Amino acid sequence: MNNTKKTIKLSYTIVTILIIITFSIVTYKNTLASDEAVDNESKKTPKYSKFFDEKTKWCDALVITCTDFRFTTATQEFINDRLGLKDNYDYISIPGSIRNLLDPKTRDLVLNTFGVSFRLHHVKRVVILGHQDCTTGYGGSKSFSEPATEYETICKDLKKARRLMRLRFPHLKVYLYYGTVFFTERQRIYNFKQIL
Amino acid sequence: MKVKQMKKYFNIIFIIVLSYFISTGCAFNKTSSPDLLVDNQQIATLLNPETLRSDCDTLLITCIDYRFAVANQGLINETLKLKDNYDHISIPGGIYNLVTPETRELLFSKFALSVKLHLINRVVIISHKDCGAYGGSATFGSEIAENETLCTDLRTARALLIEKYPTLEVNLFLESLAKEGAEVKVHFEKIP
Repeated sequence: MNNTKKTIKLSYTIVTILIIITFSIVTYKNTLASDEAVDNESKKTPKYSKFFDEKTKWCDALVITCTDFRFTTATQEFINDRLGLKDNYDYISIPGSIRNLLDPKTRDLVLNTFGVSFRLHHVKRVVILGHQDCTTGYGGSKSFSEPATEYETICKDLKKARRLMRLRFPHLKVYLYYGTVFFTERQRIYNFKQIL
Repeated sequence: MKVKQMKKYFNIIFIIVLSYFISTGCAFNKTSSPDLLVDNQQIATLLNPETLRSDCDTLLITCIDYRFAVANQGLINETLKLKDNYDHISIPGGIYNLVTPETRELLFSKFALSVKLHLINRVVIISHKDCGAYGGSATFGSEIAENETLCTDLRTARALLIEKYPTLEVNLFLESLAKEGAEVKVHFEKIP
């Protein structure tokens, strides 16, 4: 009985001490922050203040897609409105999308060019879009026997690309999407499916 | 007896401290960005059966820069009225890769795909100031020098393209950021 009381007392004291410590840390940080703000206002060195005025926010995402003209408008709407990344993404479009990444000849070059985006704009995530009937990368739907095999091949390639990206840039989140299109009488309907 | 008690207390203290650190860690961790959980998005665009073709008119070459991406789309869709009628190649540095001899071959092989498969007859090249591939505005020294260099590079690119595909029409644009109050606007300038 005595023991339990003791333990309860002890735990209470520890909790109070911890609370006091957090409180003091938070207030201390706040005072530090306010000090910094005052410092910035009082003596702005012209060289760096300009830099930080211009670079108030970094870029959030890198979008890698194909050049195909049938998909450009739909892709733009998808990224701008549906993903909500407007004015906040680097837009790389190369013929065949990630096909170039998987080709060993151009792999280093492509990864280096992607690296520009990471170095200069500090992107945090990557969105890779593949699409159906890609003539420049895969020779179109004709080269596959049926849509299912096409889907599987492109999915496999996308996943391989994700693995490569993870090896080179381990801190990034990579999202994969596969776009399909079908025609009705008056409109084209695009469907973007996420691949997990 | 005392040592045993101490051990017990130590366990309790350890658990309390651990739970405290976990909870505070969760509460203060705001660095991760929210997930993109968008699946099966359907986007419908209207078709005009009279202009429906399996090839396109124009090839657009731009840089990837996020400050200009949406402005480029605005220019090509609304101002030039080329919606759904263009291939968009966008690579870091844009035309800089064409001007430097090492990557020229590779880039031409990519252009050839567009020319061959989509039968384009016009190329629009958009270059922008403060480009990371050139090393930013700082490397040029002055604004005039930057302007000069970018314009010469654009014209060299046009000469190279016309040399290879003499029938192409090439339009050049140079864009720059201009501050208007709190907003930052993008200005386009057509290079003759």
